[in-house]
Amino acid sequence: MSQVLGKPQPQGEDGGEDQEEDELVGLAGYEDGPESSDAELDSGPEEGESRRNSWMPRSWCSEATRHECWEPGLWRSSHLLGIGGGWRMLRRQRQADFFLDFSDPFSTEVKPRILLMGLRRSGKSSIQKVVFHKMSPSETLFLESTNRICREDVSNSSFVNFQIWDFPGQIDFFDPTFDYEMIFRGTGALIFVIDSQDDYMEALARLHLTVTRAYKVNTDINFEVFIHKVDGLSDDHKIETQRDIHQRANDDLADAGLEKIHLSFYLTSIYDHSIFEAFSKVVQKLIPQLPTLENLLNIFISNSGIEKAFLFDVVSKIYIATDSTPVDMQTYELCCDMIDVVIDISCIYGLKEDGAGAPYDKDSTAIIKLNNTTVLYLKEVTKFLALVCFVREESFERKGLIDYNFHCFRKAIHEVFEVRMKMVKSRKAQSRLPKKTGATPNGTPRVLL
Amino acid sequence: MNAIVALCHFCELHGPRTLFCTEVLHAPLPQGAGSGDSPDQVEQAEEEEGGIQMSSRVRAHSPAEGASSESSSPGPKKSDMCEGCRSLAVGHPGYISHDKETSIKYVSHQHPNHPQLFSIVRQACVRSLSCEVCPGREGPIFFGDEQHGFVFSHTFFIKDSLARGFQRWYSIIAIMMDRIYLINSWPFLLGRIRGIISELQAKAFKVFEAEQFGCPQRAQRMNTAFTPFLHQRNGNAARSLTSLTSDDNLWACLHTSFAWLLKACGSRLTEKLLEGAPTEDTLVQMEKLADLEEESESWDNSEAEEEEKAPVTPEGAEGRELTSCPTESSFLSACGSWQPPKLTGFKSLRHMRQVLGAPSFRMLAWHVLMGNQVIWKSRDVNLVHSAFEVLRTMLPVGCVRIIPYSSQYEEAYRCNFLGLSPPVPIPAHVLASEFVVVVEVHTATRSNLHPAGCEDDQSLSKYEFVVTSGSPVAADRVGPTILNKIEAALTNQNLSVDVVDQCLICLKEEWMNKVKVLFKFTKVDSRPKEDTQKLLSVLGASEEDNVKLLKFWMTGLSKTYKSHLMSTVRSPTATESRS
Repeated sequence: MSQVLGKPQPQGEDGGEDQEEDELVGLAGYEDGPESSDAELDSGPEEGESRRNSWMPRSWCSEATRHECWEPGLWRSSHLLGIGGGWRMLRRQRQADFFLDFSDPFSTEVKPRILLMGLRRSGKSSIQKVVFHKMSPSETLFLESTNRICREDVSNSSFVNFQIWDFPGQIDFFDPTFDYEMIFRGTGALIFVIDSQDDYMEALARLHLTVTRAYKVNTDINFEVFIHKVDGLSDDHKIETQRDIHQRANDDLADAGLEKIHLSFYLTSIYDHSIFEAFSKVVQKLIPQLPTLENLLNIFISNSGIEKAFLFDVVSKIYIATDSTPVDMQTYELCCDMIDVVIDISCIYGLKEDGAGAPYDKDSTAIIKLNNTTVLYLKEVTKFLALVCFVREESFERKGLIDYNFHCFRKAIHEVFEVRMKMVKSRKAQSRLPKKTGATPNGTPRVLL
Repeated sequence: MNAIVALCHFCELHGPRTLFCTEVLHAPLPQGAGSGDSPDQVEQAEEEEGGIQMSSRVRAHSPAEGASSESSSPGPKKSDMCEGCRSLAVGHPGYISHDKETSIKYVSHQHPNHPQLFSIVRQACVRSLSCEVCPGREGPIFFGDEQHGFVFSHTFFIKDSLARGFQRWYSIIAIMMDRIYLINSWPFLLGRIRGIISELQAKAFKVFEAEQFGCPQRAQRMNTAFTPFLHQRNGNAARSLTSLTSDDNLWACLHTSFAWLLKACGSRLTEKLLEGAPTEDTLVQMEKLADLEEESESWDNSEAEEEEKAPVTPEGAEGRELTSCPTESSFLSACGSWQPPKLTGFKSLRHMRQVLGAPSFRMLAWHVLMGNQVIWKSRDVNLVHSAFEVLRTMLPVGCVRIIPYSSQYEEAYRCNFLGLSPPVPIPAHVLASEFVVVVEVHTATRSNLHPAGCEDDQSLSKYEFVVTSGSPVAADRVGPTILNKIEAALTNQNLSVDVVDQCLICLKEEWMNKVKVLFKFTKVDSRPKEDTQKLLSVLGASEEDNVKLLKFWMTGLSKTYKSHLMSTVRSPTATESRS
């Protein structure tokens, strides 16, 4: 069994033949069809194993049989998901139609709040415009000074649902004039933006003051520090700046006896994809379903021969979940570019003659083959979510298997969504959703830990 | 008025800041040392002669003459002040204007001197620039509370080629403790402040265009965006408003504008003290005036009809002149004033009582109070007019319907005072009715009928008055209470005519209040008859004549009062106290 479920390892030609031989042997055990499969599972793994070993001829293999071979793995995944029920229930779930209303149930939900704070001219408004408004980075040179709190709702998908508050840097919101307790009580994350090209001593002093006061009001806030505008720094200078800021900030907190406050640091710039990467991490910490999504992705890629998979919000290009393997910036950039290409081509060719429809819908899919034997594969999951995969060219030869597993993955996502709707209805009175404390999303670069 | 007008700015470095503030100082308020006031006043007097004439409503632009020395304002911290945050140079004493008429001074500084005022202005500035949101961003808004004052705020942008976004954020605010006054001044403040803002923006735009032509900032920023060494750490230096508008006299002009605004806004509304609530007669007269505007066309028709009837009058000349007046009772006072002074008539109720005799007067007054029709037949039109003017004082305004002189009989529902010429026939059933009283004026055959009497009586001695009614038993009735009181007042020679008039007014008010209670009780609450009888006993009006009088006077209630009661439905247990 472990041989069948294990991830295929890259091997030589002889090794490939051996691997194929093993798979064929496993597939041959189910020639009798679904009913026989049920009987095998009920009787226990040992007996099934022995029966598979006794059957040798290859001529009995077929595509349909190969599909059914993978069902036991998904059966296990349902247990891991904690959804409950067994093999039979999962099979019945496949018959159900998921026509869900994406807007109504969440309009009454209290959205977590992300605050953008920092000194004046540190780039807070530029970040907000570039990530959520698709503003060109060069256009941010002409943004006027933010003179009041700008609040925006971001509710693109079922999982990306929060508010962004952009603060003017000149105003001290801890002045008794302002109701700062109201501001921080409902906050999920506080992003403090530091201009790395500036003298950041004043910014560090402000960071310390802001973090300590906000922590008094709400101890559940995630404190994220964006070391911003790093596009103008050399790689050595980036590392040195990050180390220096990290050291000074944590020393200030230690001096104040607040070691329990945890700050996360990111190197960001609006001129590359680092700002999206950092924002993805911030948003993921606010998604209560994140562990479930990550487990689903892990199971999916391990059973499909996929190297890396992201669950993307196509509007903001924030990925809300990824598998356990580390995130490489180039990989992430390629995924973002793929989404842009898909949307752009769909805007040209995908709309109806009268211009109606959306460039991204449930039929959206894309395959891009790179010249380094890698394949990018995009599939629609929900109205705003897309799965983007990195696949080896040889693994992609089994596209049918990947598609079938994706089909199961998609249904599981909808089941998570359905569970969330029930939770939302039962918790309307609560001020905010429960959040897993200290959860570190997958894909966090090692150097930042 | 006690208000403050200020100009505020959102500095790119320091956030919301008050730039310029004009406040009002009244003469009784002490200013520093007493010995110091005298030379200041001398200086102000000198300034007034050649300076701003605050009494003028036109905006004055004489900045050189407007400025004068005053105590220096306390300087805020220098670290918080940049070019954009400062209006007056360090050590600049500020501006003052002196209104000679009212002894009010208008003082302009960067900040108010008084700490509490400073806090109020600071709070309003922060809210105006960074908290309150106006749809469209530029525009007026109202906010505030009892503690920090109420604020009218108008936000706007000023073009600046060196600013982020090429513009800077400003607002002009007016702070007042009187919320209602401030809201009532909204149209005035909006129009004037918008004018000031347009002028500022026009000046700044001219400078902006010139700078962009010389050195396009957009291209320059694009070129320097990716050069780390040229990165400006704290951004461009903030520029003062005088630099943005290229106007060295900007603050002096703003001082004159703000001072004028404070004075004009304060004088455009005045308060008038009302003594008591309006009486029912006042309400009825106001309603009649309103009706007159709607009936302007019917006046012409009525006048035409009157003119057609005029030739029938035996005394053609006088009749035509009088009948051209509208029949509306509210215009009768104009007819009265038109009357020549040498013509004589009845002067007062007491005079009428003496001329007619007590029994005839009582019968006549009884019919007047009961709402029966009073018909006066005489060739002397002025005499008839004077009689009606005297008799109407016994009734509420709303109960009086007069046709002063007609060539034909008019039905009782049209008028309760009717003047006729002698040849006009009166229908027999009217003469026999107990609800009509007829006064016929005949020329006396002998002068010796009135051998003795005052000089007034002699002016009417040529006439003989015959009062007849179809009700033979009228004289036997007890009569309404108010009639007896009126007769008592008229009989008492110790009371002067003015006192009798006031007594009449009080009696009418008293009984009109009873009418209101009865109306509320019977028409609004729809109580049963037994309860109504009890109410009448409590009011002291249970006799038959009093009840009839109350019912007649109920027709004189104003529409305002009736609609008000009808709209407010109250619980049956509530008791209506007399107002």
